[in-house]
Amino acid sequence: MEPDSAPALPATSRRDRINPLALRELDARMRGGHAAGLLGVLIFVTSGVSLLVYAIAALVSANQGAGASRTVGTGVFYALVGMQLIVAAFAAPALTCGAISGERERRTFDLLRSTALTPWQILLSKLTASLGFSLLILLATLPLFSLAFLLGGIELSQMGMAVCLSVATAILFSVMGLCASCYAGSTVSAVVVTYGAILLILIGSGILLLALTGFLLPLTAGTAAGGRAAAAGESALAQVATLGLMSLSPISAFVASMLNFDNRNDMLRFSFNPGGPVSEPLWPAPFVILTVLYLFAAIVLLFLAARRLSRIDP
Amino acid sequence: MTSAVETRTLTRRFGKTVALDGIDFSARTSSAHGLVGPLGSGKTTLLRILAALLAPGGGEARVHGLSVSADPLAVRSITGYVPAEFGQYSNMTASEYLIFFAACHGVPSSERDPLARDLLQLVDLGHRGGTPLETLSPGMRRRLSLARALTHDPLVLLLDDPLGGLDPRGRVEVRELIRELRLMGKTILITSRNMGELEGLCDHITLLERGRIVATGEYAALASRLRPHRPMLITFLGESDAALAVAGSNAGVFDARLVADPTLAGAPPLVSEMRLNFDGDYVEASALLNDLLRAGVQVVSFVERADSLEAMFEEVRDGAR
Repeated sequence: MEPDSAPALPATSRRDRINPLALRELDARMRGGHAAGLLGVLIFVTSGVSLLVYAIAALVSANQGAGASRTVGTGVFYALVGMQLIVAAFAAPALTCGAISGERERRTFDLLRSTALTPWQILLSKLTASLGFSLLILLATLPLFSLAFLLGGIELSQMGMAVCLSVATAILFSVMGLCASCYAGSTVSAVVVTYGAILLILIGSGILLLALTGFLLPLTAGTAAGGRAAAAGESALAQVATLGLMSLSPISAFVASMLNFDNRNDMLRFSFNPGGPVSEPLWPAPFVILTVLYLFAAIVLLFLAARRLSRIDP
Repeated sequence: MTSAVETRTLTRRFGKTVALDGIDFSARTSSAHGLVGPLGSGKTTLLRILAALLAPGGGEARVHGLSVSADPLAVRSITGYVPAEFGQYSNMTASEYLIFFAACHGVPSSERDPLARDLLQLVDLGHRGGTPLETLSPGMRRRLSLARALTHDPLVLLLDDPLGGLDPRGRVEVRELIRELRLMGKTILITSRNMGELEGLCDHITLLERGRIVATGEYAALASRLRPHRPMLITFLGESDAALAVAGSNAGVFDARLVADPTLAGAPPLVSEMRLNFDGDYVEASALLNDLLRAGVQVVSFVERADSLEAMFEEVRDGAR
């Protein structure tokens, strides 16, 4: 091999303040054709799904007259949010599952720990790079929502709700992957634990929700059963349980918040019986609860991960 | 001279396995101290505890007075740890590798480039700055690893089996580098399974076996204490009677015996080997050689047995059991 000289990297004082690990992670994550290719594929798939939904919705609502456009717009909106949630729930943690365990497997973890970097700096560097890329993907698909707005049936507050859900989901599930990576012995174990927990949240909460609403609290607003339950005063606990379960999964939180907005035209407050009396109790909307819950859980998991890395014998 | 590294009744277990069992150990400032022992003797565990990467199970470990348990970050700032295996990132050149770790150690950005160049020169990789890590030879990687450990100018270097897995040329290069680091005044702790590797590198040796120290001291004194005589191997042409007679008449020779080696037998001239233990210094050894030559013994080689240090370790270990 030909001898070569050391490349001179630009040295600026601003670099002193930037965490070098974060810089390296971002560089590795974003540099090269791999990141651009992945981004392009995801945008292409999301566009394709949106167009497919557009075509199907247009066919189904062809005889609805003036309301057809709104139906198609709503359908496209649901499809786009669904795609964003899939990216947030499944792609984001994939980027963090190997963050720490990968360092162990590369035999670089001890080298990093023997530097002046604190456990928090190591964790936040990893999270910044991974989450940054996930948020970039979400951001890149935002322009596609203009199609839904163009067709109508969607308001800005609904868009805000969808963004809140996607970002909160990406943050929590990324941190879950990072935390699992700190505790797991290998990246494979971290992946299994993380996706197991994600599926439990998405599917488990859905099954529990269906069981609860099917037996304890008929969810259909204004139904005789719902009214009876409310009148009997026995539904408060069931309502809390139902709302909690709805707020566990971004899918159910999104659907419930959308239906609530359609019925009450109120994005932040939620009612189980929108057609009932004024004294009907109002709850925070599921997406609000989910956002708060997810961010809180993410902070707790970050502390657990930092605690793990702080021990000098992980 | 003060102790750069000191442990008191240091213990560490992994499950039921005792890795370190009450180690009392110290290494003087600016000395090179070898930790020798077989696999599982606790060398790496001791090194990782001193690098504040592993918590002591009991007892205490201090580096320049700093407790590895109470102040791990401070300990890490004055130690440079080189693990046995080279940890590397993909898509990184040798220069970028050093610049990255210099940044992680808080070296100002304006100093990183010149520092990386100087370190690459020090480890004789000045011409390999732009070479991807994946394409470096094992010896080059080991030297780069040593350079990485120097990015924050540590007082103590902890080298885990730095000569293991290297070809002869790589060993020579790394040994030269370690000698240079000694001249720079660094305190160096080196682990090895092969005591002979550390000859000429370390002035102190500690022998470990199953997490316990079985012997420790200055290299020469330890060698002299554990084995007061030199195991010698003399190879010569012809019959062995004269050689045996000379050896038997020398007061410093013990246990002289001929070794039957079928590979040496065959057509004349007959090649013979004689093994003996010699209790004397180099002058007396030279006199013995002269006696052999004067007696007409056609000496082909007259050497201290290469396995003597390993044999010494085996004897010490067996005695400790």
